[in-house]
Amino acid sequence: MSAGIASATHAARLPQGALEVLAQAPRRRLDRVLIPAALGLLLAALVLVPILFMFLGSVRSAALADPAGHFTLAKLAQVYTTLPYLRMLGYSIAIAAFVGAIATVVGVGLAWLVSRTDLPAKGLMESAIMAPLFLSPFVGAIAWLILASPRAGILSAFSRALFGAGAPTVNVASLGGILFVMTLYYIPYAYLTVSASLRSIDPAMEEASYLNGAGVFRTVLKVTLPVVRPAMISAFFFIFVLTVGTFAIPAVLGRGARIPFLAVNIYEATANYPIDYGKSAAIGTMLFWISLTGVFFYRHASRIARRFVTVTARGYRMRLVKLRGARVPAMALVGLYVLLAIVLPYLALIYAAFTRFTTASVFAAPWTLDNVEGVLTAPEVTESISNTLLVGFVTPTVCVAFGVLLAYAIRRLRVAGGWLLDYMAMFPVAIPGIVFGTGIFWTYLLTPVYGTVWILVVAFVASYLPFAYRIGDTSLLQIDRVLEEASLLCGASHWRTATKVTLRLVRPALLSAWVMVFIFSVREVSAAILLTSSNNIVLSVLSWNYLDFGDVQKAAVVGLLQTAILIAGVVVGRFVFRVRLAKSA
Amino acid sequence: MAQLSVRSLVVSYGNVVAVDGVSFEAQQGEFVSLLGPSGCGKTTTLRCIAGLESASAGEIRIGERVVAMDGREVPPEKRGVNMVFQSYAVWPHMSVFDNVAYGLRTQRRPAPEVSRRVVEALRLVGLSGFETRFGTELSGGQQQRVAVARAIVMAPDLLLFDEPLSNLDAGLRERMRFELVALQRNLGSTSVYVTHDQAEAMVMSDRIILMNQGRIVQQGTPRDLYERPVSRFAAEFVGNANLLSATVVAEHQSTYRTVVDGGLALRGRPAWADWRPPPDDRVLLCLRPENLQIVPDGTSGENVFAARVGRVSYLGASQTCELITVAGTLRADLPARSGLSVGAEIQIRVDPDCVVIVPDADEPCLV
Repeated sequence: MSAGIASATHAARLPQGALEVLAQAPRRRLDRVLIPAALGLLLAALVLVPILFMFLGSVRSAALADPAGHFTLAKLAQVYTTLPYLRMLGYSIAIAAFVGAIATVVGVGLAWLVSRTDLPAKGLMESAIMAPLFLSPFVGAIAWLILASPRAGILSAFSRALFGAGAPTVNVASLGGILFVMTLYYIPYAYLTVSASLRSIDPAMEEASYLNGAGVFRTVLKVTLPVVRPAMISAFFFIFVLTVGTFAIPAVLGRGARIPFLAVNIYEATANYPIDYGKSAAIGTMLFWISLTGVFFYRHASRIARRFVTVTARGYRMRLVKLRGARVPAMALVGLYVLLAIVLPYLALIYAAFTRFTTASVFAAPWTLDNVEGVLTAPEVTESISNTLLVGFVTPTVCVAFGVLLAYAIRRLRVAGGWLLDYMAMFPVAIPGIVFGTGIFWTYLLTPVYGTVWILVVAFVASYLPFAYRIGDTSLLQIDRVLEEASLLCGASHWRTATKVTLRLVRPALLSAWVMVFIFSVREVSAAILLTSSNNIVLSVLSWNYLDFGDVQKAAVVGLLQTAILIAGVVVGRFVFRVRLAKSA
Repeated sequence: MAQLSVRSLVVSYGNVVAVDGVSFEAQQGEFVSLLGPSGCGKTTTLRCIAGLESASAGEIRIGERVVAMDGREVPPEKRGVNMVFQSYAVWPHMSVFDNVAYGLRTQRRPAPEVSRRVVEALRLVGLSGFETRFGTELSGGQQQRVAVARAIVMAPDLLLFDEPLSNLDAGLRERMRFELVALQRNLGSTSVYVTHDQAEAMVMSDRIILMNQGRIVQQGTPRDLYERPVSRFAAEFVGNANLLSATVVAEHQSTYRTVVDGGLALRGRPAWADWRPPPDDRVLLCLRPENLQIVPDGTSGENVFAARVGRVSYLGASQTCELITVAGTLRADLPARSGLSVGAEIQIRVDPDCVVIVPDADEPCLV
C-alpha cells in the first residue's frame, strides 16, 4: 500500500519534458545509424568507387564505352611482368627514394638551424623556406627549363658569355634535372615535419646533454637526431609517396631524355598513339600498391614520432646554440635555397614572359608586352581562368564542409562505424593525383558530368578530403567538451551548440584548411590532365598544352598568372581572414 | 671560499624583469633551497647558474671560477654543474645504463671505470638491476631516480634541482625528500634546490632563500624563516599565520607593547634584533596557530585574552579551530584532546616570545 503511494508520488514528480525526452529516444537511435550510413555511402561513392573502377579498367581491353571491349589479363601481365615496365618500376622507386632521402636531409638541417640556433630573422627565414609550398612545382619546372636548357637556357647563355662557345652547360632536361627540381620543391615538407617534431620534444633532453659535458655537435648526434629520427622517417616516406605519384615535373623535364617514370606513362598511354586505356589503368594499380605501402610506413613512423612528444609547461626560453662565425654561412645556405627555388625561377619566368627572347639574343632581348597581351586575349585563356577560379572556390568549400561534417559526426555525435568513416576519409592519402584521375576517368566516362568542369571538382574534392578532414578532426579534438556541455546546460540544442559554439571555435582552422585546399586545387595538374576536355581546361593544363606545342613563352605567362592567383589567395587569407598557414600545414 | 656565489643577478626579457638583483652564497656541502610562488624568478635564477639562460647583468662564481659576468659566460657543458630537471629529461632512445654513462663517456673514461661508477650511482638511488631497461618503460618515480643518478655520477661541484618532485604523487614525494637529502649528505655536494612547496623546503634545507617577484625576501635557516618572518609575504608563505594590524606603544627590554586594532594589547618582540620600531608606528603582529594556548578561565595577565570558539575541525593529531576575539577571527591549532565545543568561551594566552612584530610594508627593509 505505502509502496503504491510512493510510486504514485514519484510519478507525479517526473519533470515536465520527461515524456518528450523519452519520445526522442527512437529518433536518436535513427540518427546514430542514418547519418553514418548516408555519410558512408557518400564517401564510398567519392573515394572508393573510382579505385574500384580503375581496377576494373585494368582488366578490360578498351574503355567501358567501347562495345568491342572484353575482359583480359594481358594489360596486367604486361605491366607487372615484362622488362620495360619493371625497369620503369625500378626507376620510379629509385627516383622517389633519392628525392625523399636528400630532401629529408636538407630539411632536417634547415629545421635545426631555424629552431635550435640563434639564426637572425627567423620568421623571415621560415617563411622563405616554406614559400615553395604555396607555389606550383610544375611552374617551377617550366621556369627551370627556361633557365637550364643546354642551348636556349639563360644559365647556359651566361656560361657561354663567360667562358666562350665551348663552355660547360647545365641541362635540366635530364635525370639529374628531375632529381634536382623535385628535391628542391619537396624540401619544405621535410622541413615542416621535422620542425614540428623539434618544437614538441622536451628541450631539457638537450640541456641535460650539455650539462653532462657534451658540446653542440655531440648533442646533435647523440640526442637530437635520434629523438627526431621517427619524424625524419615519416618525412622520407611522405615525400616518397608524393614523388612516385608526381606527373608534372618528370613529364616536363624527362620528355627529351625519355626517363622512364610510371606516373608519366599513365598519361602517355591515354594521350599518345597507340591509346590504351586499359594499360593506363593497369599502371595505375601498380602505382596504387606502391603508394599504399609507402603510406603504411609513413603512418607507422608517425605513430612512433608521437610517442616522443612531451607536453610540458615550458615557461622558460630554450638555450639557443650560438652560431658565431657560422652565422653567415648558415644564412647563405638558406639564401641559396631561396635563390634556387624562388628567385631564379621566377626571374626566368618574368624574363620569358616580358621579352621577345631568342637563342641568339638572350641578353639583348627587347622588352615587350606582346606575349602577355597575346595570352590574356586568347579566348581559351579567359575561359581557363574562369574554370580555374570556379574549381578553386567550389572545391575547398565542399571539401571543408564535408570534412568538418565527417569530423563532427565521428567525434561529437559518436555515430556507429566511426572508425570505418575515418578510414575511408583518409584513404585518398595513399592515392596520387594521377591515379585518382585514372579512376575518375573510368567511373564517369559514360556519365554526363564527364568533360565538364564538375568532374574536376569531384576529382579534387576526393583527393583533398583527407587534408580537410584531418584539420577539422584535430581542431575539434582540441576543444574541451565542457564548452559545449555548458551550452547544452543553458538550454541550447545540439544544432545551436554546434553553430554558435563549436563551429565558431574551429573557424580559424577551417579557414586555413580552405586556403590550403584552394592552393592545391589551383595548382593541381596530375589529376586534371587525364580528365581534360575542351570545356574544362584549367590554367595548369593550359600551361601544359602550350609546352606540348613548344611555346615556352606562353607557358611562362600562364605560369605567372597561376602564381598570381595563388599569391592572391594566400594574401587574402592572411590579411583578411587572419589565417596562419604555417601552423596548420 | 663559498662554493657558489651569485651577485646582483638581473635577468630581463624586454620590459619584463624576471630576476631583479638577486645575491646569495652557498657554502661547500650546503643544501640551499630557492623557495617562492610561481613566477618569482627562482627557476630563472637556477637556469642562469646552470648556464641554460643568459643573465642581463650580474656575476656568478662557482668555486673560484667566474662563470658569468656582464654578458660574457661559460657554456653549460664547461661549468662542472649538473641538474635534475622537473620533467626528468631521461633520453628515451637509450637504456638506463647509457643514460647515466653519457657524461662519463663524453669525457672518454675507460669502460671499466664507467661501468663501476654507473653501477654505484644506480645503487645509491636504489635502481640496481635496472641497467638494461629503457626510459619509456619506467614509472615516473624510477625516471626521476635515473635523472638523479645521471646528475650525481659525475660528482659535480654543484648539484641543481628544478622542482624534481612536483610530478610525483604525494606519498612518493615525501619518501623521495628524505632520500634526496640523505644522498646529498652522503655525497657532500653543494646543492641548490628550487621548489614552491614550503614544507618540502623546510624539511630538506640547511638554508632557505625566499623569493618573490624577482627579489629575495628573506634568507635563513628554516627556523629563522618560520619564527622570525620579515614581512607579511614571508609570514604567510611559510606556514600559517595570523596577522594582526597593530600600533606600537612602548618598549621594555627589547620587547614592545602594542595595541591591536580593536583594543587588544599584546607584547611581542621584533622579527630581527636591529629593528626598533618607534612608538605610534603601524606594524603587523604574526601569531602562529600552534602558539595560541588555552589557559584556565579566570587567568589574567599579559597576553591573555578572551575568545569564543567558532568552527572546529578535527585533524587527528590536532584540532584546528576558529577563535572569535576582539582582535578579529584567529586560527588556532590546539591539541586534539582539548575538549572544545562550538560557542564555548575560553581564555587564550600567547607567549610574548611567540608574538613576532613584522613591518607593515610590501618591501622588507633588510637583506
